[in-house]
Amino acid sequence: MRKTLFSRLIALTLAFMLLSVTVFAVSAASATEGTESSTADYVKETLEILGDIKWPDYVDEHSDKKFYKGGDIVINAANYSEFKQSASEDSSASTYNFGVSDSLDGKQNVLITPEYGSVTWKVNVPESGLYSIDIEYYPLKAKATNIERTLRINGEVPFNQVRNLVLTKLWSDEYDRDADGNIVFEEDGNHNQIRPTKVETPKWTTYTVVDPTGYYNGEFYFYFEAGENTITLEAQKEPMAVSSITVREHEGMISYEQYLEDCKAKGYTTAPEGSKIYIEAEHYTHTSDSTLYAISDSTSSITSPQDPLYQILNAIGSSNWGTIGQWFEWTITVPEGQAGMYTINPRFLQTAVAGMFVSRRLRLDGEVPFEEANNLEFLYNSKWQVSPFSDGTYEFEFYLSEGEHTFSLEVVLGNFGPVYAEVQDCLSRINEIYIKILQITGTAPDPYMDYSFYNRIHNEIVEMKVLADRLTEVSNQFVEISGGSSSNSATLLNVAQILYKMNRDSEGQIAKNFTALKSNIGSLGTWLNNIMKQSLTIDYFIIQPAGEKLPKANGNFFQNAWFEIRAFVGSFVYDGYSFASETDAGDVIQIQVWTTVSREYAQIIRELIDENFGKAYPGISVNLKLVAAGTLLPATLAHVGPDVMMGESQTQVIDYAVRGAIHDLSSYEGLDELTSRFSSAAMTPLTVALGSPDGPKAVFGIPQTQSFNVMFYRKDVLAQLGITIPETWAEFKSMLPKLQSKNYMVGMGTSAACTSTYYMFLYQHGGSLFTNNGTTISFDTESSLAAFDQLCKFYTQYKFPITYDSANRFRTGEMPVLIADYITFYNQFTIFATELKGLWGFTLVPGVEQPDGSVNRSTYSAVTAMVLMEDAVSRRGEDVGEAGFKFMEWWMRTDIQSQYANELIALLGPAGKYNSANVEAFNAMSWSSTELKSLKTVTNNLFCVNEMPGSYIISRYVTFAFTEVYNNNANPAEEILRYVNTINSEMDRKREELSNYNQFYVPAEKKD
Amino acid sequence: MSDNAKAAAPRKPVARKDMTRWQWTWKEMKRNYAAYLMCAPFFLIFFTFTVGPVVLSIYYSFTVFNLIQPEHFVWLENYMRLIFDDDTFLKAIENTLIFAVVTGPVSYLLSLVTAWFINELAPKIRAVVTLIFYAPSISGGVYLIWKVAFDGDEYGYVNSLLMRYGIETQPILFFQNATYVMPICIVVALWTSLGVAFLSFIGGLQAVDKAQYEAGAVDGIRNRWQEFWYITLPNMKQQLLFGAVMSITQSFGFGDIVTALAGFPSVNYCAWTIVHHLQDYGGQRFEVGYASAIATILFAIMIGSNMLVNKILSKVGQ
Repeated sequence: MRKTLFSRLIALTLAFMLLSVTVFAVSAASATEGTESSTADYVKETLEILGDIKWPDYVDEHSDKKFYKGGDIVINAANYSEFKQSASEDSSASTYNFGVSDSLDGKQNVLITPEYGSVTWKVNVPESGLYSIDIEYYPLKAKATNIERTLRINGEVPFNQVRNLVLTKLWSDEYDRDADGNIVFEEDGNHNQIRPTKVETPKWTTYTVVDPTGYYNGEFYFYFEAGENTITLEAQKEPMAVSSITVREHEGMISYEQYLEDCKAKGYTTAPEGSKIYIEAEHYTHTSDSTLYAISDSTSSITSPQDPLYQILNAIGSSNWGTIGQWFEWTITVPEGQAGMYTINPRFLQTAVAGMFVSRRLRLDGEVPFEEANNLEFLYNSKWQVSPFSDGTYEFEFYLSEGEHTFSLEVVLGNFGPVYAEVQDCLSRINEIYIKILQITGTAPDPYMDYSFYNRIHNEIVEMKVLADRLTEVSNQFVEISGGSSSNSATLLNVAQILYKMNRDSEGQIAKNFTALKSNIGSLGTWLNNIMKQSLTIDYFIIQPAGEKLPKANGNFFQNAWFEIRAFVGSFVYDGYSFASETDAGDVIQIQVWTTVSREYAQIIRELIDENFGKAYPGISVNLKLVAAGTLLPATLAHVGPDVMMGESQTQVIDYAVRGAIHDLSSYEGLDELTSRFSSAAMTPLTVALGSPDGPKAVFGIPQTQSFNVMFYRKDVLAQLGITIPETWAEFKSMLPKLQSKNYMVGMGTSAACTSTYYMFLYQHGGSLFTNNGTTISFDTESSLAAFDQLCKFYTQYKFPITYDSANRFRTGEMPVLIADYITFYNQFTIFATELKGLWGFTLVPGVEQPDGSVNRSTYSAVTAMVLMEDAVSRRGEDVGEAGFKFMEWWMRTDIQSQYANELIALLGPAGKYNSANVEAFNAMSWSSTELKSLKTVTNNLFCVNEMPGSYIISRYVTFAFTEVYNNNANPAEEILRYVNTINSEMDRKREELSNYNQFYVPAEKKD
Repeated sequence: MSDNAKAAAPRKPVARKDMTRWQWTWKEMKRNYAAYLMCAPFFLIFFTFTVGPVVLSIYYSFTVFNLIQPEHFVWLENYMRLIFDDDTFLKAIENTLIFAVVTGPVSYLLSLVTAWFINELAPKIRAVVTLIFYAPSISGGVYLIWKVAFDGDEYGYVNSLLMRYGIETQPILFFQNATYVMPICIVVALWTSLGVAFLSFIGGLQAVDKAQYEAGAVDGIRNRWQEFWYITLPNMKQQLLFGAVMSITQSFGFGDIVTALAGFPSVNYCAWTIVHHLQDYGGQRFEVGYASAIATILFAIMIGSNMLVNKILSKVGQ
């Protein structure tokens, strides 16, 4: 065992060396230099991930081994042998500590494993062979996201697919029921139904190690040598309790024919005629994710139930249910005397994957009844369909005995899984080849230049043919499975064509088709991402004996017309933009709250208000209104504006405040407690000193969101080059030649972002934006000039690109280091490049080394705020300011912000992360413990700039100066100094213009 | 008694000179009330939404007004500052005039000449060619493809060509480099300008009576040019005027295209026009009084240039 492992490692290393001999030399050199341990860790980890084999390779490798036959080997989880925690993980936020718990939900002696660290168990197997693994776990309540673990056997990850095992949690809706026990949904003030609250209902569950990505069907098996082995579970996300680990015989499944025969043998017959069980899909009992919920479908007039005007919860799914591993579970009861064979017939709509089918796995009473139930197919049709569960060949019948049964549908890739896996694999290989070419030619190869590709990347050129063949093969399979060629196979063939060309005539075609290759890789990746979304909408299920008549799937002409007419007429009456509260009683205070977010977001806010704010403050009724951006100004002018406005940018806040339209919050009780929820920087742009720098401080808003930049990096690229993550700009600069000599680019921000990048350098040099308490700009100070010079040099001397598409370049790897807005890029990239999971990371931006040796890594951030309008206090003869402030305080509470963030993720999926200004709520989002650790360091280094009247002019002139330097190689200092007077006089002018109102100053720093 | 006396008096015909001008108008209005009634809806809307704002804007140009607090009167201060103390405004005037002078007449002549040529084609081909020329101006934001073409990235079409053939080694930021912004914007403006004027010219050309050409030939027209100048153009004077007004208005209002291409503000104010200046003060700086002064000046310039065009067009065919 040890020997094979060792030789495998050697082989891998050799292969790696062959691929990049020069690269390896660099990495070896830097490794001997003995850099910081955490960085070395990341290099090691990344190289390990890159060296992973895939499941099919693993199967090949162990094809000569035999499957173990015999009894289960059960390890009690409490008898673990080791627990380790790595330095890069954050354990402070965890509510659970590692250790053995006496009893948990009916089980004795279970092991609590938190969201960090790794646990190892020893296992003795009687004979060498292939075993499957079961884990009996219990999800501990923490964040609303799945549990993720890495499985290691004898310290090694046997193959790539077990790096991120996903163990789902169990969620239920808290339904209200009427007198008859039927489920009813609550309604809001507009008669729209509200989704029930989701609660976690954990229970002990047995998880069999399978492919979390859904590419491969069936349970995984692992090779164990006879004797002592170890099994390690390394935490990625979320805590869980483990009671036992079972190493057992690998189980195959019976076929459907076998199942039918078994049923026949047991004497089961078709259920009696007329037995019919009907269940609405939205009345599910459990879901795997907190983000799965009932939706409102208005595409069909006969979706049950339906309403032309109001939102009725009448279906499940749509885009909300398409990620691998997500499932819904329903409970049905078979009445007495009606046991027998049934078909299950959903009314469904599948418009997600044109010309193909999406797949689901059926579990009946927790078990997959037969092999084919892994791949239920739902065919594409632009209309609704009613048809029995089927795999394309059989229409399945199931035996249901009397009494209660559960069935669940889980998103899988089904028969397409291995095909997608193949495409995915080809894609990542092509990407590597692309990078190899890029390293030789740069981004714009000259078709007439002699690059001697044939000598330099001979292996890759040979591989192109192999990959092209594989893609052609896959495209044929597509045609076969989906029956007929479609645009799907075309995408594959395009790439194959290019590769064939490049392979045939490397010198002539590689440079020529380089750009085409890049764009085709991009479209292939996007196509793969899209096709793997297995969205499906289900309205209801009818469970009845085979052969009986099914209900109509679509409404007839008159039904549809009547529905549309009612909807049309109703649209004149129904006000969808106002989310009025239910309580309009006499002595409550009414406050108007305006928001510019999208409708779905407003709906969530409304629900939170109804559920929570109404209970906390019964005397205040909130009228939430959705308005278009830009409505606030005319409304304020006409005094018909809101009391509280949400989501204003920091510049707007001061613009309104300086003209007396926003109420100062500093007199309200509880402001100090409220501000303590935000990072210390977040209040800066909203706070000014009135009258004089030492004058009273006014607070003109409460931060809602806070955005900031971080440095993203591709671990794989940097690790291969042996580059450590830079912490100072000096280190950053020494990294650049290594990257640029390989034609890699670094993205420091586009020209639009140059102002914020400049501020970053400015604050890192110890400067600040304003001098003389906010009356003059600081651009003539030494630190400002040094900062601007530093900024410009990156673009003029190091030739950083000034416009680029960051996501695409980061994905292909040509821009492995990138400074970008955290939440935007994180969200975008998480769903954009799922194949790169684990191969990229982020960290604080590098900093300027200070004379005392410390590093100043200040990071620029900006906030949006909610404000209390002056009208709230003065307009209607009554002062609703207090009520408005209470609403603002309530909205920024940690639990409310956490709920809101969770709801957004429910709505938008993993790309729905939200940059709440509430630090605790932000940290409580579903980050991994490593991400959280990085984020916490960022929060401590944030700064915001003050906003002063007239400060809009600053970024304008910084951009002018910057582009002048970039375009004409002008002297940075001269250029920025040129504008100092202009900026100062504009600010003077503004101050004078507004002299009839309070003068704003940057508050004097507290000295402590 | 007096009633009787009045009734007894001989009915004298009412003459215009018997009453004041206002009385006369009022009387005429009462007599033609139906016509006024039918005009009323349009006039109400026109006055409320077009004339009203213009008048209001002229009023505000004498005040300091920030949209939130009440305005206060400052007489000519805005105009004084605008003319004597605002370098950016001078730059804006310069750019606007360059724009107007280059794109106005050029696009006008281009429209006319293209229309003339197209008119010579066979009807079916003419329809297709007309569509091709007219397409850029109907399809809203289509000028944005120029942004892609001149993208500052090394993958931008022009940049990638320049770099491929070794003319440049680093991508040029076409829209962030003062040298290129104006020329590119002018080219794009010309490209989109074959709009309404062009269509009306084609209409005008086809409306010319064929008999007149025959009569002209009899009267001694010697070449196509004379035919064009003495017969075609005078016949389509209305369309010419319409086209001119459209061209001028358009050439003053290219601000949106510039903003979409070069950003707001364009670097170093290199393509800053009066419209931009107006948007800047009205939208970003909350100085509506000042912005109104700019608008008033722009209004005056436009009226002036329209009058000038009228003068020039009256010379056609002479």
